[in-house]
Amino acid sequence: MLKSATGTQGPAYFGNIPYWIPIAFLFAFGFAPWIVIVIQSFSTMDDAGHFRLLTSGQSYYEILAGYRLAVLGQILRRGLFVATLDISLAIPVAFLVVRLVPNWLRNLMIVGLTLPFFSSDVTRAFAWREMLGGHGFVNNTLAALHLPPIDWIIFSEFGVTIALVSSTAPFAIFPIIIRLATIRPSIWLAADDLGIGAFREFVFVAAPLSLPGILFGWIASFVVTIGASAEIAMLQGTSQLSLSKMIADLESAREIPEVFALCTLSGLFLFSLAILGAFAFTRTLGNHAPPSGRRKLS
Amino acid sequence: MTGWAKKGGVRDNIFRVFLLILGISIFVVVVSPLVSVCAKSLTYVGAGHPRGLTMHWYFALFQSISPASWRNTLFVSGSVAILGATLGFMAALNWWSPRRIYFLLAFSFVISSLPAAAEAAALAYSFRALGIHRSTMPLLVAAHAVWVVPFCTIIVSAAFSAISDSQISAAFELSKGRRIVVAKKVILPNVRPAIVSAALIAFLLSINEYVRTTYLSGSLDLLSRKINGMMMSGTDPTVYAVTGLNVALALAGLAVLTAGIALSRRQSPLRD
Repeated sequence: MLKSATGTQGPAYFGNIPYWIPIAFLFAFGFAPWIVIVIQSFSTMDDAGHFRLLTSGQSYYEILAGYRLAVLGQILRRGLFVATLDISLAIPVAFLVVRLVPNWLRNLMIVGLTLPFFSSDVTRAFAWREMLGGHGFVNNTLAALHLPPIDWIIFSEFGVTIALVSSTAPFAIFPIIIRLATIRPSIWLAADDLGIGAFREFVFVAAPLSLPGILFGWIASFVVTIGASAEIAMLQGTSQLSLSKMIADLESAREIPEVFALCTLSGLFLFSLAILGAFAFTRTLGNHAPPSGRRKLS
Repeated sequence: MTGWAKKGGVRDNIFRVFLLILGISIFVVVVSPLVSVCAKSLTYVGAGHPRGLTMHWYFALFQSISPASWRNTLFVSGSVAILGATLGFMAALNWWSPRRIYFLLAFSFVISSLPAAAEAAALAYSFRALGIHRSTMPLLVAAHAVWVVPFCTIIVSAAFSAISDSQISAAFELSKGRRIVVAKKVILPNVRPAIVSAALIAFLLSINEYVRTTYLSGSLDLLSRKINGMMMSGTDPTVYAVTGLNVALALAGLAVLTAGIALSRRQSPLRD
């Protein structure tokens, strides 16, 4: 007998094998490589490609000195901006979806917002390049209205931001939808009975209760933005600022220990954020369990 | 009565209209680029040809992809689908303990959220140290499977909510505690549609994934690499058909997912 997360006792139906096999797989192919990378990041590589361990953090110094630090700073700044913009749009949209619109519109919006999860990021970035390009929808519309074309919307930070927001907004919206949808109906009924209106219901009921969803949504969209590469490769032009471009450049220059150092730094940073996100995720999902039950996840 | 139909003051009405405009704008921003390119894929734009609905670029796309590329992609993504769905099912078998499920989901979420390029580089270099080099299909399958496990676990776990404690206990009594029998005869038939959905979603995610594929496929001829190359160059109009195909697959995946979970719940004789 094991004690469950909600504190109730339950029989260990299928023992430990279904637990340890996925854990072992995830550890071997998802986690263990990072341990190797962290160790190798404290090494140097000779011309023959052999690694020699060092006690100094030379490769970290190379990554954190000069222009690379500035590039990392810009990647982080973009992540912060996009995630914050996402979440500030996501809170009211999630409230709209859960509380205000009729069922048919709710279903349509949910299906539409789910599309980015299942379509390739390259496809989405390509679609945005087509929309924002010289002969794209935006400039064609302007031409039809006899207005001059605008060229700064593509191959610029603006274009990248628009594409990233459209790709990552659902990552911010869905955790809040899940959180709001699992709030006890009696709370909404009480709000209705008190006649507090949509605005005050949003500010004083929905927003405070969706905090774990907001935290998870912010972290998820930040993490996805930091790791994004397709949108940047297609929409930023020649001066691409992305982790994958940095890694590719270091690899082509055969600066492999620096690749490891960059992977370690980005991995550690996002790892700690993701742990915080996982905590928020369990809080978001945790509300699914009915007070008397302990199994229902959705 | 939906919130929209409720009576409210001027401030509430303005707030509702503002939310509706914001929601529709976000919806348009997310959906419109894909819809616009899909529409373009169905319109022949070649010089000297009349405009109108056509499947020309789709035929051209299928002709331009080599059989080896299809074969390799089907093998890799098919293996990822089987492995991902199996691991997802195993993880979901811990449904009786929320602590275990949350830990598994959290662990897989943390790993999946690491930057794809860094994760792929980590896998490639660490396995090279063990003598396993890039362009090894099993390595590619493992890298993709690690990424799809959280999705599969969530999908299969959702179907487990239709299974009740008392009936599982009864099944254990009747089968004299044989876990394999209970899993095979009672649980599997009820969650099968969700497992199929999880496998299809894993397949779709694997086909679409290109960062891990680029880092780990070496010289392997794969669909996602070819498509990525076509889109990056953007010179060939068949890329519109690629987008159309991708969106069609995404919608199909979504439909299968919804139907699979709904079917699992409807078919289950074990519902509370």
